[in-house]
Amino acid sequence: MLKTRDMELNMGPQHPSTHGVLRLVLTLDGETIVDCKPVIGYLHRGTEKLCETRNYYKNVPFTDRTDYLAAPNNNLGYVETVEKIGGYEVSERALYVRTAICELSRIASHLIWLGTHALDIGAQTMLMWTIREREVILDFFEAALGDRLTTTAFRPGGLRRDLPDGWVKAVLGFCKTFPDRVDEYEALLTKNRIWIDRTVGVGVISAEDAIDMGLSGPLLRASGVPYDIRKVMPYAAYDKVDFEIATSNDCDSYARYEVRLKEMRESVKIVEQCLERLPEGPISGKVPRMLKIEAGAEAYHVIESPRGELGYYIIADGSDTPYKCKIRAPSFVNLQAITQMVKGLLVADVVTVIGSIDIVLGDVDR
Amino acid sequence: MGLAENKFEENILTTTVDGVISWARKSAIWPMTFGLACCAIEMIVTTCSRFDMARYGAEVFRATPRQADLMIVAGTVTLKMAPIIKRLYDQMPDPKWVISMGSCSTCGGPYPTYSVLQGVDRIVPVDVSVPGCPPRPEALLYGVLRLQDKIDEMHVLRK
Amino acid sequence: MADEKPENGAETPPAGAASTPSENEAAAPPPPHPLVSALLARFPSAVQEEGADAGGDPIVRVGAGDLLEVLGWLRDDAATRFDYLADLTAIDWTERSPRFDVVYHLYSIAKNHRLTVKVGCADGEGVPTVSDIWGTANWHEREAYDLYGVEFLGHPELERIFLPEDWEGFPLRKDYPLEGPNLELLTRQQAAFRGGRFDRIRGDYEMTEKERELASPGIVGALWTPKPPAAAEPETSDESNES
Repeated sequence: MLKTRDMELNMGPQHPSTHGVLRLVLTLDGETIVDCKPVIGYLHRGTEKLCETRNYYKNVPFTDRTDYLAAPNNNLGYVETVEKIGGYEVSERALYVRTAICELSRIASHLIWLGTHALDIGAQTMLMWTIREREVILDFFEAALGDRLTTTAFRPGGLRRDLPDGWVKAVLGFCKTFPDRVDEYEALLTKNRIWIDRTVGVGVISAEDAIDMGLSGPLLRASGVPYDIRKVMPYAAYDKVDFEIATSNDCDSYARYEVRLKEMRESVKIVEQCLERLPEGPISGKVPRMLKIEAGAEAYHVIESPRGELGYYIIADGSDTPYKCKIRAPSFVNLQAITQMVKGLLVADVVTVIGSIDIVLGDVDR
Repeated sequence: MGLAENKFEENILTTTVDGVISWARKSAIWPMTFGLACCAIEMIVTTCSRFDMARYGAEVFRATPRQADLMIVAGTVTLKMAPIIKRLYDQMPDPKWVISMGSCSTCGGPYPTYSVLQGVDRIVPVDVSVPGCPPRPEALLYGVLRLQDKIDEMHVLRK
Repeated sequence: MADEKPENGAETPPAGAASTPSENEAAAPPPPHPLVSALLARFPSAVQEEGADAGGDPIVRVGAGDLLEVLGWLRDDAATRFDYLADLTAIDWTERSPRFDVVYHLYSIAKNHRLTVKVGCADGEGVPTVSDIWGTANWHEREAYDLYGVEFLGHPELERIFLPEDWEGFPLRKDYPLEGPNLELLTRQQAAFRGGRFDRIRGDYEMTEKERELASPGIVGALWTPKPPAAAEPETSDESNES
């Protein structure tokens, strides 16, 4: 009698499509996936322990490097938590500038997501096109913040330095042309037969399962739950601008693609509104040079990173270094759901699902 | 060379065999996709249209080490990942080179912690180190050019 | 000792005894948060209030024996509906007894309110797992176990998640040094990769004192020492934490 046996396939830490050092141990029945067990930790760098040994200002660069595709958002989460526990005030101008920079960073993150996701599925042109736009945004970051990728954009109280001359005008010019670019991306992919075949129905997770697994961000919104922290618990200047939340009821990878594209368009609107209404004033509130936050002050503050709910839980102990700094990373929580999402799919669909969850291994492993 | 000078017409070039082999090797380096962390993003961007690594010949990124001759270690090397890097390095056929891109793989970077290997040169021999956190794409391109200079100095026939 | 600084997002408690300022400020404590009142009404003995965090969200403390019941009720009750476990982590308080605190940050998507629940846990004891209540707790608990050594009783697969399986020690504990248990670990890894075409390590790999110093990962570890928790006044020592 012929017997069949399940095969264990290791999609190892070095793989072109795992978006970093992620290892998936797949149990296959032929080409169909029976079980998928992620093994992580290949990029665990001990950021949380390092944060306990440096003072509050010095920890900001470490937060860049956790989610390195959207560094300003990470910086904002950390800095706002420190401001919360210390009771420091942010200047009005800084709120608007922070919002604009975070939304630009959201666009940049979604652009590289789209490029690499499409590249993994086979549409190589998308990488070239989206990186072209992303380079423009990185030029803006370099002009205003000093670095392209790991920006260390904010400090408790505001920003380190005001915007250069002509920056606002240049960014507004970019905002005028960017929606046409998104139209180009849509023209290439949205009604594309191959794209639809590869992404519709792949990686489905229902709304109840998503809430139970703690998913957040575009994953949750694509499953029909309109939970966006920018609307529900506004921070920075998000309560002063108009925008819509992108949701979809389809729960699959195609829905997440649509949600992120819509988010890019909404982000452009937010940037325009922030920069048009930019108030004059100091770029930073009055914050002492040595931040000593009283013992016992703690806060868990969340912001909406492009990947989902990014939370920082900081406990102060009276000195100028935090006692504990926990980073609630959205990719770490989102990745846990991959086991449910790929059951019954083919091996090639794993690549689609990883791409549509949009993980960053620095965030997963910290 | 003095014997052969001015004896030939203009469309004949003379050089050494080593020179030709080095020129062929350096102009078509095939890197392996080995991005670990943030530096990987700058590596991806280096291959895209603005910074264009293809003009230096190093555009064909192979996913498998068996077909690659350059390993660009881009990102933090943790102790958990280190045996895998060593294994991949061993799987690459000769001649092979390693560029250590960024501070983390050169010296541990900003992470002097319990789980980070303080420099990938503790386990594989590094030919060119590109400093930065992350290095700009132009810096990586400069690193590739310096590697090409290093390849020029290699001797194949003459020991 | 928790701090009470209600800022944005806090539901101001109904004006109770502390309505007239500057008269009886220290006299009556502010009335409890409505969530906490509901919780205290249901579990009067199991739950103690611990104040609020800097954002105004309440913090409560539960005993380990009542944990599952309280958290299950918080998830299912119609008034609270905490269907989302935002974060689960542990804190090492070194000399306090019990040594660890396991912290649960709960959020309700339907009602948009947050609550923090803390459980004390001694070294060697465990806390019941909540991975049956919220599926997301699985990896969070593995992380807390990996980094702090807190055990979660009943967890389906409690193994290390970030560090290699044969790692000894729990890094985020305060008595664990930043650069690992000893430098030997870093050098042993080097020795393990000896051989092959690249042999940079000569001979039998015994490092001299000077080499050991040169191979040291950084001076920060030498300067870092565990800090006592919750110091009342800022330390005036010149212990420098910056490298």
